Amino acid sequence: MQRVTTLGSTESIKDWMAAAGRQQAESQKQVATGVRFERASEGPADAAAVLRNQRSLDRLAQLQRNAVNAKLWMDSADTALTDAVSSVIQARTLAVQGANDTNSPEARAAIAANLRSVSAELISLANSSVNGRPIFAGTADTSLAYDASGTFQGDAGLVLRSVTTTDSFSVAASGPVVFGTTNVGNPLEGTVFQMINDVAAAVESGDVARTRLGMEALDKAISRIQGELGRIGGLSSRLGEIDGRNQESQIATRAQISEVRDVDMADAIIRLRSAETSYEATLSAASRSLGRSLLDFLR
Amino acid sequence: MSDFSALNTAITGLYAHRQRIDVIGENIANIDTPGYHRQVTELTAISTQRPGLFSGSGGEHGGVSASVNRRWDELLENSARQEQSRASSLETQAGTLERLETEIGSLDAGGLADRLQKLWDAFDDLANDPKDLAVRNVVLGNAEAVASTINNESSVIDAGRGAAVDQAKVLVTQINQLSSSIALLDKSIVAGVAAGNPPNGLIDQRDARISELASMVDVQVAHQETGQVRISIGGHNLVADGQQRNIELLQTPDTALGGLGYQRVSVVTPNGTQLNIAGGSLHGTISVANDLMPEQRRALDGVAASIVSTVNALHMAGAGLDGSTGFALFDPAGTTAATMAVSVDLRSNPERLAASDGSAALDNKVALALAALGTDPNGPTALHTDMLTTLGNRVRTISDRARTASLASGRAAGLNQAAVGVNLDEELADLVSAQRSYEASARMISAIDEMLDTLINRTGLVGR
Repeated sequence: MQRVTTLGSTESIKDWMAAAGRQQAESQKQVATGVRFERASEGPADAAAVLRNQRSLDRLAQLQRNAVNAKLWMDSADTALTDAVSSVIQARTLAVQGANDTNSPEARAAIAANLRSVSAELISLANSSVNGRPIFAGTADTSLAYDASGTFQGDAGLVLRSVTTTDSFSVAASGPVVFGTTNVGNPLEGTVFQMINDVAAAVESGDVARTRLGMEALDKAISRIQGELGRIGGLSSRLGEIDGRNQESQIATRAQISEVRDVDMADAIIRLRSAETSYEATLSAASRSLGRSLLDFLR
Repeated sequence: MSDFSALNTAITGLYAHRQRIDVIGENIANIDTPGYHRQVTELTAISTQRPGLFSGSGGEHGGVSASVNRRWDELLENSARQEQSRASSLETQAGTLERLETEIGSLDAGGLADRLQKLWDAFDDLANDPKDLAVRNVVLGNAEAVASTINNESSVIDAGRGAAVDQAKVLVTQINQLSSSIALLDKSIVAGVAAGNPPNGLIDQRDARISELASMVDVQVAHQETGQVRISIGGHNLVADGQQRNIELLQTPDTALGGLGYQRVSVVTPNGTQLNIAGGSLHGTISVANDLMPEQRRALDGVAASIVSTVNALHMAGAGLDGSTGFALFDPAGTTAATMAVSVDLRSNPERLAASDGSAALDNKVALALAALGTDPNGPTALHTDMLTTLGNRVRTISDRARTASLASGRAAGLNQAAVGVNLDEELADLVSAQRSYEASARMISAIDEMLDTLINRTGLVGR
């Protein structure tokens, strides 16, 4: 039979009290912080998952910021191009008026002047910018996509925004793709600005045949701009979907992190109560057994 | 059988029970003294044929003799000592690693994982707006934060290791002091044992010191006939025949640790023989210094090297806003955790930060590629996640082992304590019995006295 010595029982009571106290402190910490573990060692199996999920959550948040930026570009491009289409349509209407050979020279001069102002307006639309950066200048570092004469200042680089972990979008086309490439020999095959100026000259000189050719060229220009508008519209709706999915993944990832890391409060509080109870029980057991000996019973 | 021999017998009883009461008193006084071994009075009946005082021809002389024994169980003492060595080694290691994890293992904001993520995010912002100098400065600021966090973690590891080496030095000094005091006690004990009167108090003191020694280093203890002990570590006699021999701490250059700027720590005898230490806090500190901390430094160096090489490879291929190419973002000379730094070429020249692949000034492909490093399954963030989870696992394993070992050590110490400790109830019961026996012996003497009185004073007076 094992003897129970006075020193030994004092030591074990101290150990039990320390263990119960530790348990209580642990439960208290969980309730106070709301997380099951703060260090990898407190939950090695779950820590890796938490870290990975936390990183993908951060990444998703950044992708969302990227998407907001992409949306800003696309919306600006959309507005500029919608306005550009109506401007070109206006130019075409003017050209139709100019193609009528009953116009007086004064009337033709007025139409030509109108056409030139439409061209200037188009140039300013083509110079639309986001945060001071022209949308249609590609990746060139320039303050204007087109100078006053309609000459392209940018490059053909793609403006990319990464909006999913694998995909990046080109948020704006380079100027020539939308407005045509300068063609000195045949302005009607050139930029929309060249076309309008050429049509203006034809109207001024009463060259009905050339004006008619110009009208056809303008039709092509309109469909080119509308093509880019369509592309941006398509991307915009995809971006909307991606953003929706992104937010869903953020919620799901947050839920996963919470699943492994957050404390189940009801459970934690019950465990804290039971730790407190067992601590008190240990204390009262100690107060009874300590200092109790044969001395109390010998007379 | 003579009357006087009966008187003698009663007196031996008085002596013996008196001694029992003395010993019980000592036990009770030392009831809370750690390391005290209970003393027990062993009573032996004396039964010898000796000439009696008046009987002439001799008769049976009876009585009782008492001898004091110190309760002691070599097996239990040894196992308690071994468990203690094991536990204190693991506790030292667990304590150091737990502290390290608190400093460098943060899973939350402010930790390296978070800082790295901020850097990758900043690259994305740079891709969105390559021309904005403010964004460029944010990228550089985040790169500096990553570098300084890693520098800091590296110095935390170095400091942890330095503290372990210092602690090992202190432990070696303490071991030498303890063993020389044991050797001194040994001399007095030998004298007492030779005189047939074992000095139990001194032996208790020596055992307490040996147990203190066992918490520092795994010692083998052999008790000798003369009452001396032989204490050895890995075959080296620390104390033998009352002589003490020192051990020393040695730091030697080592190829494996040299890369980290560390020296290998080992314990040697005065003539340079390596000692194989397998337990105690000295073993704990040595494994912290030689294995655990270097392992963490290597992992952190790996993360630093990965950041520097992957980021620089992409960055040097790109072009800055001013068209400059070939600049490294992180100083290529600093590929360890301690030396990692943002390159001086970039520090005050945010326009040199490369977002473009060189095709155009505001191209952002390099910035996008840099941002994608954050999700690269073999990239720096993945490496750092591995490092954190490995550290977490290591801490958990060692802490669990330390907890088990300290439970085992407590149990072994408890068993030993149960065998050699003092139980107040037992002593009180013994006290009652000794007191009664003493009273009975005294009663015996007065009974003999009355008998003698009858014999001497009343003989021949019958009927008078």
